[in-house]
Amino acid sequence: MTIDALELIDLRAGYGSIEVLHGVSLRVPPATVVALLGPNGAGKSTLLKVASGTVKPTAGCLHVGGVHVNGAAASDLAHAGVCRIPEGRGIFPNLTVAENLQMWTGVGRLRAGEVAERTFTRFPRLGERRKQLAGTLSGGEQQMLAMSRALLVDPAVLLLDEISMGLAPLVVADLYELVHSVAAEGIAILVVEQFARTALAVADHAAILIQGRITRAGTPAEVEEHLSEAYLGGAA
Amino acid sequence: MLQVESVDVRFGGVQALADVSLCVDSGSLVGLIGPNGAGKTTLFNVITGLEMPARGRVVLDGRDVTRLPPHRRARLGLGRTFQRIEVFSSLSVRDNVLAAAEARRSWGHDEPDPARTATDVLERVGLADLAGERVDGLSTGLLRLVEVARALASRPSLLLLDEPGSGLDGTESEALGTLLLDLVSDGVAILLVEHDVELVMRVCQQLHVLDFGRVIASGTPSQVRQNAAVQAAYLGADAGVVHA
Amino acid sequence: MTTFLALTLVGLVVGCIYALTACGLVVTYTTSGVFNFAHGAIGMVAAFTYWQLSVGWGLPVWLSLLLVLLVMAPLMGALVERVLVRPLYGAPIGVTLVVTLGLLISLIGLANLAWPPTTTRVLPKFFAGRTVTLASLVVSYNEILVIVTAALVAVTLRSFFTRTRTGIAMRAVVDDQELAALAGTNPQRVAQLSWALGATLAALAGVLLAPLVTLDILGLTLLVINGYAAAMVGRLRHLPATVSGALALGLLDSWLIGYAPGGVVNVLKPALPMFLLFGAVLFLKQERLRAGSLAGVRMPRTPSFRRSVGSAAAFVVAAWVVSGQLSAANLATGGQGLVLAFIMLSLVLLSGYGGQVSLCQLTFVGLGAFAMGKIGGGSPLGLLGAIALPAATGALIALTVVRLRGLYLALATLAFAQAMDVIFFSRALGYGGNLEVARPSLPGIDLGNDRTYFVLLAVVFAVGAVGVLALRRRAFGRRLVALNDSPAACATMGVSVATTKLIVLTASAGLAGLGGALFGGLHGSVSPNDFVLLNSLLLLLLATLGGLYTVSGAFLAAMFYALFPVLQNRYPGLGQVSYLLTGLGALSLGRNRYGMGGQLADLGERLRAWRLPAGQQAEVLHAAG
Repeated sequence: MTIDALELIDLRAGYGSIEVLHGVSLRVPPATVVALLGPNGAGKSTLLKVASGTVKPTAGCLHVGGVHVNGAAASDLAHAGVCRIPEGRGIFPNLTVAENLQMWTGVGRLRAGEVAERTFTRFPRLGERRKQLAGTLSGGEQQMLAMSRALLVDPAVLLLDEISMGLAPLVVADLYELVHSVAAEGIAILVVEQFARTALAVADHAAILIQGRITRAGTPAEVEEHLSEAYLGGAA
Repeated sequence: MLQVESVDVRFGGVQALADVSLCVDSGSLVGLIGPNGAGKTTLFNVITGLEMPARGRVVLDGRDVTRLPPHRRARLGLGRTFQRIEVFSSLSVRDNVLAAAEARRSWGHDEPDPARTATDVLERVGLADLAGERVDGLSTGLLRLVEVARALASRPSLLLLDEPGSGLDGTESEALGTLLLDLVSDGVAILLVEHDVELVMRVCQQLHVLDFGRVIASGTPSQVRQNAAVQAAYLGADAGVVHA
Repeated sequence: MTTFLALTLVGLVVGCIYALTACGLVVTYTTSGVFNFAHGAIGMVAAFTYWQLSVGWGLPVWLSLLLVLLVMAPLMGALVERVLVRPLYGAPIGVTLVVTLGLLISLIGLANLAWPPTTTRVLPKFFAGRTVTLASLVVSYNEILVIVTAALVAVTLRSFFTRTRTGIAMRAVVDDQELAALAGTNPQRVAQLSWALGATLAALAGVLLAPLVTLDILGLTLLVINGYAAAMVGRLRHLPATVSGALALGLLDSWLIGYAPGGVVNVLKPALPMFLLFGAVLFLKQERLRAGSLAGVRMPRTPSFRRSVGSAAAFVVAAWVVSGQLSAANLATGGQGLVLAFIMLSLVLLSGYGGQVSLCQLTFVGLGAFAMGKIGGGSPLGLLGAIALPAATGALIALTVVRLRGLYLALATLAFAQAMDVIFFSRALGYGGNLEVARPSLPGIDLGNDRTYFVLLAVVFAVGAVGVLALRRRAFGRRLVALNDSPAACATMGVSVATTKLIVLTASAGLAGLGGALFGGLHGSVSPNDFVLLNSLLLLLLATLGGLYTVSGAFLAAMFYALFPVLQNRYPGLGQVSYLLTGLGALSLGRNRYGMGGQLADLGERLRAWRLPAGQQAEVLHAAG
């Protein structure tokens, strides 16, 4: 039996008196892409924040690599191999590309030179812009920079929050190709998307989260059948 | 009533809004939908004056308001709610609404008693029973209703609602739809951003779809639903193929 | 030419020192988000500690420097961050400000205890007496040391922030705290580091400055205002602009002394940082109203109008009864408390309801007393002037800063209070002399009688309190609280944020001015010492400790404040302890923001609930929140 890289058991969490997740269970085994879909406000981002230690669960269990980690700090979970790319762009806009990369060395205990080399080999475009402020890159380049963090540190669990947001379809397709190849390296990936079948195309499992509860889970094909009604109403 | 003309907004290297134009006729209910990050809230900020466009104009009742500060635009009859809730959390539900009614009286003419306005509005959105509650203990859904009530208390002629339905359950969202239709029949124009598609399809006469900061489709709800670009934007690039 | 060069050199040296302190301020503020009003006090303590080690205990200079700059200062900064600042992240400006002001007051109290101002302390210059002559200009080694140190620090800071992983991490935390945590950087540790670094720079500035001036606790502490002004040029963010601001300030300062006629120097020099600060503020862009902040305050319940009138009447009767039993001295102390309580009502309005912070409330008080004293002995005209002059001044200040964040109002009022201290009050009221202020006259009542005046003050306070509470329940009060909760929402419902802030600051200044007129009348005269900046800070701290959201809190705080001098007379030496206690009290506000008044209101609600039958009990507790 393989140990799940990430496991949530009947997890509850929220902000102050407002509970957002009302008992969510989800498993993400190694080398697997799980797509978590659902409308805005369903609690998808909150779930990722709980999994990465930014938001503390109020009930239930959070396991990383089989270890109970409820209440661990975000920086501790980062060292334990949980890597979340937040919604928007997971970069520091007022730091240069090279400085952004240097920030990534904190997690994997890598040398700055190594980091830059590996990244620029994979994304030559970032190499050309190493002295540029990250905030001035195009959306796709920013997302590449964000993803480069994930690729450097060989994380156990990768949490991707709406990486397609505001990006052109072609760029999104490229990014998901990347996601697929990363999973093939043995990493567990939880992808959160509001829309986008592109996510389902690379996913091994999928689930729909609505109002803080998982309403459907299964293979991408099974889940896909119910997508349209969840978003666009009955007769799409 | 409202015309947005070729508005551009950039945040650093990201184009948040590109050449966005749309209009809302008086007394109509127009929906604005689109994926997360498409620029809907940014557009609201541009219309209400919280964000300055790099290019383009905002025209309200024939008057160019692009350079006016937010409060001056509000006084021209523009009201809004916020996606990330902005209630006055030190005040009770009633005082939240009352503050808006009083503000309206301070710049309007011949206004009715704010206290009565507040009571009426609370009654109307169904918050009358919670009037004395502190707002910081309420659920998200109720907070959104408080925002709607507060916006109504300044009796706008154009109301921008930013996801008023998220956090509401089925019956509540049903009631919200009825309220919106009621308002429109009273002559209030509404621009509605909403993810509850059932609601949008039910109440809106016209829809605009925003994606990557551009308007990619406009039309009646059924037209928009059939639009291939919209399907692609919502469900992913190959949506048309998969779902054909 | 030589004069010019010599003046420029002096200006450069002083400017370098301002730059060091200003950079420390900016680094700490941008990284941790908490503005450190005690920055100058830290430098002051460092300078005194350095004196203690090197002169007092005769340790070698290098060892003393090492201990102060590399051990004491960083430890102090780190400790302050851990104990005081960490609970404050995300707190409104009113709270963070009071806590760091509390630290400032505590450090001053502590320094006065450790190094009583009765002895004169002199720090020798570094490399005393050694000079080189450069093109007819005599340059001391000390001056060279300052300039070289500053340049080294600038270069080091620059490469620290762009080359080292830690420095980059500090900038990263400014950009996106959450993401920095995800990348394995602990934002709190980074903030702590920024406090250690800030304290070290403050200490360095203090140690370099102390030999150039007299070793004076208050003087060294308040020199930091120059640092604020310089930092403002860099919009509290950009280090290079901050450095230029600091150098400009130092040079202007020096040239002014050299070239302007004596009279002008005396007026302009102390006001220079204020002018620079206001000038820089004028160039700042209107701040965007950001949506997305949910910072509510749990205000104690406002009593109903009938209840507050009832309590006010009871209060006046009690004051009348008590006044019969008081000795002349106690009447004066009690009266002082009542006047101060009235003045604190202006803070309840401004800071409690409006969430704005003014650090020059006593300056308004002084302006009120000044107008009353200058305009017709106790006539209604005098009272009118006492309200109008400070109100107009307040409006003027407000006009320059209301478009900006609350922090700017605090900084502007601080600079204003300091400048007024030095320029205006010392002159307008006569050096060390007193300005006579008549009591207001009321037909048929002899206010010359101390007991009658005492009762009048009680009446004025009671009326003021009822008025402030009534205001809170009315439209304007609701608007103030609403504005504090969400400026963006207020603007989108047609409220002009700037106008509302302007009105409340003007009203608060006018109220304080009226208090000033009554304060002057109580003693028959006022002196510059009554309105010094430090006392303004103390007043605000005490008002906050008492609880800015409640009228009873204002009363408690005022009585305590009035008792200060009395206690000090009776037990000499207690004065510094009371400073220390107030400061320490303010530090506790990081954890409980509602002060004593809030606790009392809470207790009151509980008692009421206890007396009521169980059914109603829940309801009351619920309403009380």
